[in-house]
Amino acid sequence: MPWWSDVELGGSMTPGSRSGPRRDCLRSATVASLLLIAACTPRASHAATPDRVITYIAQSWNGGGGRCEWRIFDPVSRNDELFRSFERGCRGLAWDSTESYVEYMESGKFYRVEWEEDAQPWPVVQLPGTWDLQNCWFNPDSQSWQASAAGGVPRTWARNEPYYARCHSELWQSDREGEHWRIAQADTTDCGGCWFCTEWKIPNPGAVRRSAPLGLSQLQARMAIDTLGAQLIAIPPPGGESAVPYDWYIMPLQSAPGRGLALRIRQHPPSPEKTPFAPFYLLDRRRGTERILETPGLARDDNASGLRFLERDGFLLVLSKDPRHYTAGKRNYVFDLSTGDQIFHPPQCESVTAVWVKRPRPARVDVAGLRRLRERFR
Amino acid sequence: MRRSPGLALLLVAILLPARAAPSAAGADVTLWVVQPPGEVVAFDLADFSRVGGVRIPREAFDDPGRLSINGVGQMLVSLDADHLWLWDGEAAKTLAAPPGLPQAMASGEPAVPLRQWLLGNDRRSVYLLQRESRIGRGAATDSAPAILVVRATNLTLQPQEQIAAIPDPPCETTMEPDATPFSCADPDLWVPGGVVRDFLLLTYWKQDHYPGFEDAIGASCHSLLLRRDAKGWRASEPSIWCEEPLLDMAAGGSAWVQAEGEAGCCGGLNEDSNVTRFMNADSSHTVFDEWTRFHNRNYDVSFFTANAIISPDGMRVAYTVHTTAFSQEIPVSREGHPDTLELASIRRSLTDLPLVEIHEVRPHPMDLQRLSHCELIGWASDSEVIVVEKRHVVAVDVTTGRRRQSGINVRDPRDALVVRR
Repeated sequence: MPWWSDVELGGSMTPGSRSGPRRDCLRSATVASLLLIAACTPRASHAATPDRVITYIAQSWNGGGGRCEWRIFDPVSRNDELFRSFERGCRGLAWDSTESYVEYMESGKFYRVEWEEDAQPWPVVQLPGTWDLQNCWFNPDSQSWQASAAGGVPRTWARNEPYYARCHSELWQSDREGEHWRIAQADTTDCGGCWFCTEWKIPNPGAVRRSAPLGLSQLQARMAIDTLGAQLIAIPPPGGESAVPYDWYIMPLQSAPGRGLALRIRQHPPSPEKTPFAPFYLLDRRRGTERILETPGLARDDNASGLRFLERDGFLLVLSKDPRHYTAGKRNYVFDLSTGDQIFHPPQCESVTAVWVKRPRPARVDVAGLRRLRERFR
Repeated sequence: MRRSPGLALLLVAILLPARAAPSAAGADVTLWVVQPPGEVVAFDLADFSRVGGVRIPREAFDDPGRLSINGVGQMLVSLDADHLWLWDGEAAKTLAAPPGLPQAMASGEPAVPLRQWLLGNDRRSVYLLQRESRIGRGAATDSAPAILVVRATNLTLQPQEQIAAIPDPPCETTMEPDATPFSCADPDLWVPGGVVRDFLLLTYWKQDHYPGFEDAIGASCHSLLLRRDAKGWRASEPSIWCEEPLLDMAAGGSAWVQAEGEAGCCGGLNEDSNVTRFMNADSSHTVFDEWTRFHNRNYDVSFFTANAIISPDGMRVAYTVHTTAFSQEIPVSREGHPDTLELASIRRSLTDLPLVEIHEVRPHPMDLQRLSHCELIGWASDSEVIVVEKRHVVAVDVTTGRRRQSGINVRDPRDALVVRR
């Protein structure tokens, strides 16, 4: 029996079993939840021309080359197109704050490409010849190009022990033309034995100024369950599911009126961390249906650590780390919220990093320029 | 000492590079530059003002050498043997070889149809060279007798005119006696800038036969100059050393610039002096002689002309000098001897590269300019060259050395092209 079919009024909200007073509480919670869902959800679904698409980096490490494909998936048309491919991986991929252009590093060069259909990248700067570069930017204060580099200082390697004893950070700086690179600042910090050096820290951060980029990590951070702004509402389990050991919640969908995503979440207050667990359900109050969502590669009770959701225009992007791999192997799903179908099928590879971004502009046509060209060569 | 304001202004006027100073370049010359986000943009050479841009295929953006632009602003990109992209001045089209065109025979390993497209300058023609079967359509196999055919088509690739057809029997050659023979190089149809105006140069290889030495295998290179006059196309055999790269050719094939490079002997990079000559049917004038110019005979590093372009009036030749040196290590050549002065001179010369030199060939041969760290793009007029200097497009007057900065940046010199009507 669906969880909403026996809704009654009264009681207080406590997720748990369906019997006795608790059941009444649940019913009232359910009603409240549904009212909240109805109140929170706009009426639009699958807008005519959604302004967002999914872009993703599909990376393969076979052969050690780090070949990756940068692709754009349009959930509306379901077109999945290659934007660029890189034989040796790409780094520092970031949009400007208006998502008008993207910059990235590849094969020792720093490129910019307009976020536009059929746009081609343009090499802006030749990067310094160091292997551990993270990002590059132009500093308007010093009128110079700057680049951050960070890496680990190896320790004597022993099996199952961290690779690094210390982490080093470097600020590289060139002239205005992007030539004559030199290390402007450097620092080394003890990481106490670590696998990764993720922090970049220099003695004088005031020497750095760059406009806030929208990198994949920033765009993914928008997807964190805590930054959704969505309210998680406790509910009884969907049919056939148990409320033990973790409580069930529903996340009202922004673009699908009367619908919500149901999932289990583990919380250990005061820690703010919320760990979701598969499976996930799409609940539709209006139709009275519940549908388990397909999550290939993510099995029941898998600890979906790092699970992230972001809903746009009637589609839900779910990003999860593969629980069997620590560093790579992210699982990504896109659900059509009108049907519950999983519609995202990226190419086979070790890692996929997907985010919602602004839809690339249509290719611009230089109408006035073409008119001048025709006049010139008439 | 106090300077007068007038003197200061005069000094400023002389010393500051003029960005939009008047130029002799007329509207019949256009600078085309590949630019983001994926177009080729026309600039007026008089003041480097932007005229307009055309979106080009990714293949051409990534490799501008595949893009040909004619004097009336039409463009062609060969996508593969059967497909090309064409901007006819109004719209872009991707065209496939039409059914009415005879099938091209495959050659090489893997077998690829031998078909080469060139853009005409008359607004209405595309030219092609292809290997065809002699015994008709449908029998285009490796074993069938073949002919090389040069044709003109219209802009929809429908054949209009057969310009030349020559037998193309199988051809093999060897580098040394008793060595395993290999297929001769493919034929090539060449015109400066990939745009056909009033001539075409066909280069092909023929099997040689040596009476009394029937087992010997060899082949020789031949050139066929196809010239168009009022009565149509006429073929002649020019006195061109066709195994060496032809760098430029003047209108009607009347004069040309040719580089004579290393023979490739014995693994050395500098066994001979690289020489570049300005030639016509009657005379030859050396514009570049590596060993004379760089005094590098004792070292295994070579300087050579990577490109050369004849001025519109045919009086001057500009060229870019490149080197085979990719590191600081410069070994002594096989028959050379160490010479510290020579080595120091070579090292100084290397710091100037790439180097553009402009040489007057008529009426009195003389060196006009040497432009360090520049790559030659073309002639804006009889007296002004366009170069790329550290990714910036610059115009330089070859007599005064005066520079005009364009404000246009490129990825590398191949992004820029000067095209005359």
